[in-house]
Amino acid sequence: MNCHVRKILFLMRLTTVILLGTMLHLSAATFGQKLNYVNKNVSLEQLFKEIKKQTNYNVVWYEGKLNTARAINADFSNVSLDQVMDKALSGLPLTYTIRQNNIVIKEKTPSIIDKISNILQGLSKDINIRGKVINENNKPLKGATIKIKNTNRSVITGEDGNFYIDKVHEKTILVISYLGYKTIEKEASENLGEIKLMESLNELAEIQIVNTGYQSISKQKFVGSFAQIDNKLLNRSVSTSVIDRIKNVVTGIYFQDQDLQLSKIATYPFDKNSGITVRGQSTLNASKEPLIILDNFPYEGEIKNINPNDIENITVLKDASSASIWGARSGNGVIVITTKKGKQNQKMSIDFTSNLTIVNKPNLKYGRNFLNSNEYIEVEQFLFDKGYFDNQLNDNISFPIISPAVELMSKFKIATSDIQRSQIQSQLNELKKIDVRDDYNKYIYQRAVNQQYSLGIRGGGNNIAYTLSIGYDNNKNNLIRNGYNRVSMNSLNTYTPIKNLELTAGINYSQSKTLLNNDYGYGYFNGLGSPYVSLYPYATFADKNEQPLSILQNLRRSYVETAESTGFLDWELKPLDEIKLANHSTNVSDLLLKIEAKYQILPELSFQLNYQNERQIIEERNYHNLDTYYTRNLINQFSIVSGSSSTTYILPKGGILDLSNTNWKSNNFRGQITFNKSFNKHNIDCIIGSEVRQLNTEGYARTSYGYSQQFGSSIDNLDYASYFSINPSGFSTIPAPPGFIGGFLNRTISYFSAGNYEYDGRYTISLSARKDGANLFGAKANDKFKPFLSGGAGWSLYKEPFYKFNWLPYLRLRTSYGFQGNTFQNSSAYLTGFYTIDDITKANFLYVVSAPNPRLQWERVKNLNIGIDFSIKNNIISGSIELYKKAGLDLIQPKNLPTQTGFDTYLANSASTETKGIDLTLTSQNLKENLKWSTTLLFSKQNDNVTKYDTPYNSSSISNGAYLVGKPLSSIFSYKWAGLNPKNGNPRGMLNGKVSEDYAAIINNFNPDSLVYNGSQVPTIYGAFRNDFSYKGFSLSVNITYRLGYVFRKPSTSLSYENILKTGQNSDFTFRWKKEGDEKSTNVPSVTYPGDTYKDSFYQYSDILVESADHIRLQDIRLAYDISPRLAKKFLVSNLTIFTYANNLGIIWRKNKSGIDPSSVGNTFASYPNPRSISFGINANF
Amino acid sequence: MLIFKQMKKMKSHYKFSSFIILLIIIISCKKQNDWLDTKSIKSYVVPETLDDFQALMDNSQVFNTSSTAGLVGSDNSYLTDVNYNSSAQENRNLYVWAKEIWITENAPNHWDNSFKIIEYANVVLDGLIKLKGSGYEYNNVNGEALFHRALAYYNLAQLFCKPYDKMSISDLGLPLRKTSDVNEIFPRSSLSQTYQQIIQDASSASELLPESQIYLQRPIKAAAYALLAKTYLNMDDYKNAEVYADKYLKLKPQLLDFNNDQLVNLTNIYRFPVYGKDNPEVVFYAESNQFRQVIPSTSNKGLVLMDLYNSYEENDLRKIFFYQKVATDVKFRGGYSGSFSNFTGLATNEIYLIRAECRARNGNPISAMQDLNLLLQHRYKSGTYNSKTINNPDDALITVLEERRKELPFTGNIRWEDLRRLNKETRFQKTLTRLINGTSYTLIPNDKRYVLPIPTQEIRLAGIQQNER
Repeated sequence: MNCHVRKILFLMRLTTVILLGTMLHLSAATFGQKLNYVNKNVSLEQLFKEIKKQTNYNVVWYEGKLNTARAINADFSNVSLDQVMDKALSGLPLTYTIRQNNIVIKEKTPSIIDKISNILQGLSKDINIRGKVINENNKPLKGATIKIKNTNRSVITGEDGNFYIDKVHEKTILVISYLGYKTIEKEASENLGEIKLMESLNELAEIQIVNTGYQSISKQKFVGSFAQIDNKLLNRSVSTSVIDRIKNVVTGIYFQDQDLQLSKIATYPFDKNSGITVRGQSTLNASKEPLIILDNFPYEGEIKNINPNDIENITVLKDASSASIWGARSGNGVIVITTKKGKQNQKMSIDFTSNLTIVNKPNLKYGRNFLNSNEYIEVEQFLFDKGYFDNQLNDNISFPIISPAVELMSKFKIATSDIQRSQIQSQLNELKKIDVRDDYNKYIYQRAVNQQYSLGIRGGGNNIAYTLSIGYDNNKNNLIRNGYNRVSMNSLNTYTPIKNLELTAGINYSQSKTLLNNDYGYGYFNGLGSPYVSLYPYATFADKNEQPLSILQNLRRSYVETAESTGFLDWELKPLDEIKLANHSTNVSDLLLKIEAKYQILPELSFQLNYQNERQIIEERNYHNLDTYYTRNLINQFSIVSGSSSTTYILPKGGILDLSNTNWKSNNFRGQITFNKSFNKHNIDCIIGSEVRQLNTEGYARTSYGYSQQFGSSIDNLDYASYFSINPSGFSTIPAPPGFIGGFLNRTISYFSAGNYEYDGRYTISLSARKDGANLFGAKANDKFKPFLSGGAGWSLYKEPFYKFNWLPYLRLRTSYGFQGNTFQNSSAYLTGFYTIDDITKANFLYVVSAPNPRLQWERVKNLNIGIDFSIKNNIISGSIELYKKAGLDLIQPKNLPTQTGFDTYLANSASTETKGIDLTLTSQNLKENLKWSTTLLFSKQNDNVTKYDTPYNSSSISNGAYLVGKPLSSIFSYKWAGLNPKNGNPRGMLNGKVSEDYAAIINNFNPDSLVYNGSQVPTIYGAFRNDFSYKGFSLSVNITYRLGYVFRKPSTSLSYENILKTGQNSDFTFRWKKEGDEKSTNVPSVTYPGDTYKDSFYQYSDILVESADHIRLQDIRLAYDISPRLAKKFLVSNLTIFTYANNLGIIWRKNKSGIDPSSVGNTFASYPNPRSISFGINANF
Repeated sequence: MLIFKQMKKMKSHYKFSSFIILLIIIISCKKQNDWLDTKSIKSYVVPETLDDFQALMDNSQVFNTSSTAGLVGSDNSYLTDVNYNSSAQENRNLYVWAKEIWITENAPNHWDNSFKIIEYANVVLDGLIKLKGSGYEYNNVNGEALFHRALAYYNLAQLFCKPYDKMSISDLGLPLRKTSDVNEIFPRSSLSQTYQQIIQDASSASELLPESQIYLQRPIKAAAYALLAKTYLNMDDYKNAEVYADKYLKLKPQLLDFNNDQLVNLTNIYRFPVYGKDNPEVVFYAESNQFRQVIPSTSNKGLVLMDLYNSYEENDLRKIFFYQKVATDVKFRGGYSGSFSNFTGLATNEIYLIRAECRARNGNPISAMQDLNLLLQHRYKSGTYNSKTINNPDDALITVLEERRKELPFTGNIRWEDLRRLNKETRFQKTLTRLINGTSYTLIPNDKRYVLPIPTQEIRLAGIQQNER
């Protein structure tokens, strides 16, 4: 036996404890040492330390034989050490001996000695115990187990819940357990009376309340479908935005991966795109965003304004019964965010959180849309030889862009000597070695660093509860000079001035700044000028001495280089300088005020008024100083140059300031009556109320020319009407500053009512009704209002008297059915347009937006949900299975019109969809001892399809991703692939059952039967597999996610040389068919000139390029350590957790053989997997 | 039962609160409809007033652009193999008169845009009926709408219908839409119905429109006469064509003297005043909405046929103002748009030529030559033009047609229209050929391919008859 003797020594010679020590009375008697120590719930370890401190006795034991975490109530005032030890070890099969200054704990020798020692000490005796086990409702529990701890002795309660055990040691601990109830321990005594056991559900489900934003209902009575993310799960991951924290931890919610580099801020409510779908998509063109509720009301502002550390929990309402109370906006599901709140009579607690995240640079070399310089130059050479650039090269009027390689080719062509030729050739060869992505990596990207700090104070007194928190985030983006920072404050106070009246007032304030200085992310530097679109791969951003180099844009280098000497401002574009010079940011400030008054008229009846005012201001400021290319280019275009000295500037020679400002104002008012009553076996929860909401957004933008940052002055009397000739050719007016003021006004009036009736804790019925009216639809007032109804029922099967499955102590069934709504903003019953300025005449003209449709109305979602919640004995496995069927009805679609009507489409409520799905959550407790291990499996399966769509399939449907009845909303269709033509490497398809190269005919063959349906573009199966381990203070959580049952289209090379310069750069070019026989080893067709648009689109949309997107990835790992309370105390905190969290770790398995990560993000040109990140953080509670 | 007992106790409270709720509902019900009756998008306008209707038609991107698809297939310009190969596919299709032309289901700049003009004009006309107004503004808006509808149908007919022929009245015309209701779909009318509609609208417009407007982008009375003259010319109704050309020239006889270097200047890249402003000949401004790549101008790809270039005499200023020689190639840059887009509007030079042609055809060669001489005096270097006198109507006609080609080589689809029109007369028939990448393409007189295919979406959804090609 490995007798590792562990000593408790050291440590406690500090601060408060020393003070304590000085107050102790120490006696010299060996066994008469006395101890003074009063502390509730103290661990043995702590007690032993105390003994050491006060008596200088070391307590030693055999590792593994004593659980020192065991807590006792120490109540020792001047108690002898042996009494202390007896108490400490009471009920344990242990004893102790004293050797010199050590108290050695060891196993009791057989019972005789035990008995003798007991008798000798005379401290305990055997007793007979009786008692009764009951449940919460005071009903006797039959079959409960009463076990004498650390023995094999146990009894079971009888019919009436009574039990009796004879001859039990007085201090023995009894363990009382019953399936489905929390196990408790009790010290033995003659008559234990009634022992009440509390029900225990899923261990994870610590929150027992579901908040719908209107009412809080106990989970037991809730019949709807919801997913709740408690505080622990919420804080499992690290993120700036609260929404990111529900990723991959609940079922039925899918997150489209988004590029972390992009920090889009929606200036209007309907521009929002969080990429979240709840149980799939049930709309085609209306809003796809779930409704986000913060405490009581929809939160209209930027979701990033909310500090995640202020959030207590998040509930996602998935079905009609839970969500339809939100009516016309609930169709995409509802996410209810509940903030942390102080409680009355609660000691003040202070939370502090801080974390640091480091995100790798994205892997730019990952994307396939790249052609190496060698081959790119080969393409240019080919086109050059065909005379493709002749027009460009000879154009001395507009001086169009000529790439560095083509310049060299052109020089080569006219070179007269071999020396010149070889010189030019070697310059070309130098270009071939360059990979622009290296420069991107080096100069444009950096490691992102995100910092987060948050401090929260919560507590309450007799008639007051308060919350105050502040948070600060500072993120440095992957793109150099881009970033984000946020300060947020949150205060919520509740007063009870008189009995039954509760007043709550809260303020949320946040201010954030997004830096947008770097426009030069890989793949975003487009618009070089015809015929180029994306940057050529041999571009360089800096020379060998890291000095910025210029990149061509629109104009030929020879023109740009001589510009300065002919009187222009420097006309070169150096991206690295531009990044430094940029001064572009967006500020968002958000102020939310809320007031709530709640009056308890009767214990069961309350009346409540809520008012919330939210104001968000988005200010974008982009200052292009005189040194920026933007400004220089514009000034140069309008300069009148005559010789090098006298240049006339039509545009003032100064900076240009672009400002834009968007204001959001939302007002919400609600009156509500709540009735909650339990009597006998009945329980009623109802609400009825009415709500008025208005969201008003207004924005404008302006431009100041000749802006001086120093004086704030600008030149406003420019001539925006006249045409000036511009350099190098053409004529134009000065771009007039926008004077447009735009905005939305959304008004809603709603009436709602919801009721929940429960009988005997077994049967629940729930109904809800809501009627919404808005200023969006309907030419007539009658059409403005629309009702949304839902109902549901629940049955707690396990509570039935006939229920006998002991192995399955918890089983509940619930079902719901009803309607939710969805709004579509950009439509009208009339032909509508907006006023704008005509380019040529400068007349204010009416631009037509949409064809009229007087019958437009709300979209509806019909939703049926069936759920089973269960828990197997001792929570070994618990979880829920839910089946649902959703139907999107009256969906708005652009219906094709014959173009003789002047429109090619108009909007009509003529489409519908159907989604069937399964959400499965399983949690197992694999190990429960010192090492705890639990596993959670999240499984979501959803199959959606279009059930009605009025626009037939046409030749452009395949590229536009059109809808086809009977197929998923995001389907991938492709043309049948019949291999390459061995003669010329042309791709071949099928037409009327025959192999064909008549691409136009294949594409114009509208019969969808001629197409291959490849599958859904979004996963039909997805979920996560999470394992949580904890051992002592350590906890480890590993989340593996999977996405299955979907496909993606692989980008490939354009089949025409000229398009490769435009958008068709792709590494497949290398593998193209070049000569007969190649068709055996490649599927990439030959590349030709001039291209055939039909051939190209046939290939790009052929099924050879569609691959399975199925994959499994190691999403994240979190490792945390809870510093023991004792140690924590040293730092003056009551809880201290340190953790590290790694995210986006990588793919474990993928089905496609091309090595593509189907979740890669970025724009179409450049895509890459979201880069790995690692976070470190602490969480302290004072 | 127990529930009710319990409830009774609380009855008074319930009464009170349900009363409050009821009150709120009643009060709000009255006001709620008013409150909800606001538009949700601030900037959106539903056109209802005269100003709105005028503004609807002031959209020059729609009302002052038209297709030059016909020009691409005409014989005044050509493409080298290199330039052909590097042109967009739609251009290539048009250039070699391919069977299929449109790459997509729609032809936004051709079929679609003209019908957009027709729809907007119908929105205005329907709206005017509701307004029941009168007076200058009302008539002006009314006239503009009718003019735009007529011109749009005229342009469509030149591309998507056979040339007008009195002998075959059953030829297919266009769907004639006189309502803005998008739910109503019309079949193709006959070609004569289509032309009748154009004449009817243009005639009404000529009565309603004022003699001047603040922009060249808005039509005037003379523009309506011009359209009528053009339409009748296309219908081989030379009497009426001459009548309306007369009416036009009474209002707008002024010509642009190419010797006036304030208005026409070689230092301007595009020679003529921008957007026709200050050009006395332009009465209605419109420009091409596509195919800048192939129409020969500055940096574009199309080159001017040398035969055409060489047909100008040395003193003819058109030779230097219309064209620029780049090495051995000649490019066009002399459009009345004064920009890189081809001019597709209406101008006085065309009307003089119409009248001259009609006079020649109507047996009046002397006065025909008077018109031509007047025009050419403004085209030649001052004092270098010698007036011509021709007494034979046929010779006069030939001379006028030659000058017509030289004066209007790249204006709108005029050359294409002339090829179609003149093919009806054996003496003027012409076979077009192209040699591209070693392949020869031919377009014989009265070929079916003189009529473009209707976009497939229209065929599919409206179920109308496609043109045979």
